[in-house]
Amino acid sequence: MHELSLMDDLVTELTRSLDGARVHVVRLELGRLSCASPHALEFCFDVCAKGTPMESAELVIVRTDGDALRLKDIEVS
Amino acid sequence: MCTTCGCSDAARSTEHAQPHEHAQPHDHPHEHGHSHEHGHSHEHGHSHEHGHSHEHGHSHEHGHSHEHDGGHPAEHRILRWERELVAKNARLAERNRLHFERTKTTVINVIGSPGAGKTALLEATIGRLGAEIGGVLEGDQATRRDADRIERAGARVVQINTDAGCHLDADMVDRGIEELAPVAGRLVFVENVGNLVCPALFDLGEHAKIVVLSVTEGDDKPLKYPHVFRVARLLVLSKVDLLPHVNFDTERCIEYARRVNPALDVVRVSPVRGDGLPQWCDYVRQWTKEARVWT
Repeated sequence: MHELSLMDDLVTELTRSLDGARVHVVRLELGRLSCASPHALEFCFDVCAKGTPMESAELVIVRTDGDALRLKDIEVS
Repeated sequence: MCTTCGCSDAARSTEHAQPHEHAQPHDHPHEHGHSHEHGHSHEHGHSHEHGHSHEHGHSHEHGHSHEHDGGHPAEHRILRWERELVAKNARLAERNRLHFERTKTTVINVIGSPGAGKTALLEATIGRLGAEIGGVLEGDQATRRDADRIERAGARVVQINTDAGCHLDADMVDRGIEELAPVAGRLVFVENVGNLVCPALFDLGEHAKIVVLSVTEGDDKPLKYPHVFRVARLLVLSKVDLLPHVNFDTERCIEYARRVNPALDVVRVSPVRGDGLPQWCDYVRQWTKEARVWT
């Protein structure tokens, strides 16, 4: 479950940087050759987002070719 | 597709909680909340990869407001926040790499399933390379059983227990190396947590990743677990002394492995009988030479 540590780092960083802004959408780019599973990323995002400004946010995973594994943007209010 | 909100992306459209209209046409000028003086447009989905990782994704705030139905002036803002998910680990791995360069330490990351024969390979290697080895970092969820074996074989060792963790990351290796304090110019092996999946993703700052696959595991593993074979420089086929007793087609396994990584070298070893150990040690020495050329 390496996805857990990826999501934990991501949520921690965003929480620290966003200063309380509410997050509605977190959009990731996930390449088909990357070593992460979309299902596990979604599962771990839910776990890590609990109690943070991302708690009710939707995780959108855009599949691409190649090995991308990155955050693209977030939607906040 | 609107590259700002991706709202017509065919792969998976962004589902907004409420219908929305764009206040501006999609080719609107981007109003940045702060000024980034990039001489290019932000419409191309380029990634800002500068060869080093940013822990803080720089956010480009696009003043792009959505008008929602229902009288809720919900001001959703899209923040562009390009960031590799492995950014934190990549930054620490880069720091490790610089440290290894400064101390002229060659680091080899040994990956394989539990029971593949990683520790046995290292025990046999210690017997052959002796003083060239500065030490071993042993990754396991629990116990110091492997550390004890390495110590008995004659090398310095630090055991890293990850508890629930399924892989070693660059931070654990940084702390492990600090504790191991190998003499400058030596070779350090990092034996990763037994796992053919997760360790493939985590750069430790090492010079080479190798994958150890034992003939008892089956010859189809390179196709079933391709990622680790893709990132490895060398496949060590271990326990070849057992080949007469198992249903394992060596040539087929190598063919599968090269389907996912055509550049993969292969060495066949039996630490208990001694097969292939000279060739394995030649690879290790070659990497040590390369590491010294780079530094």
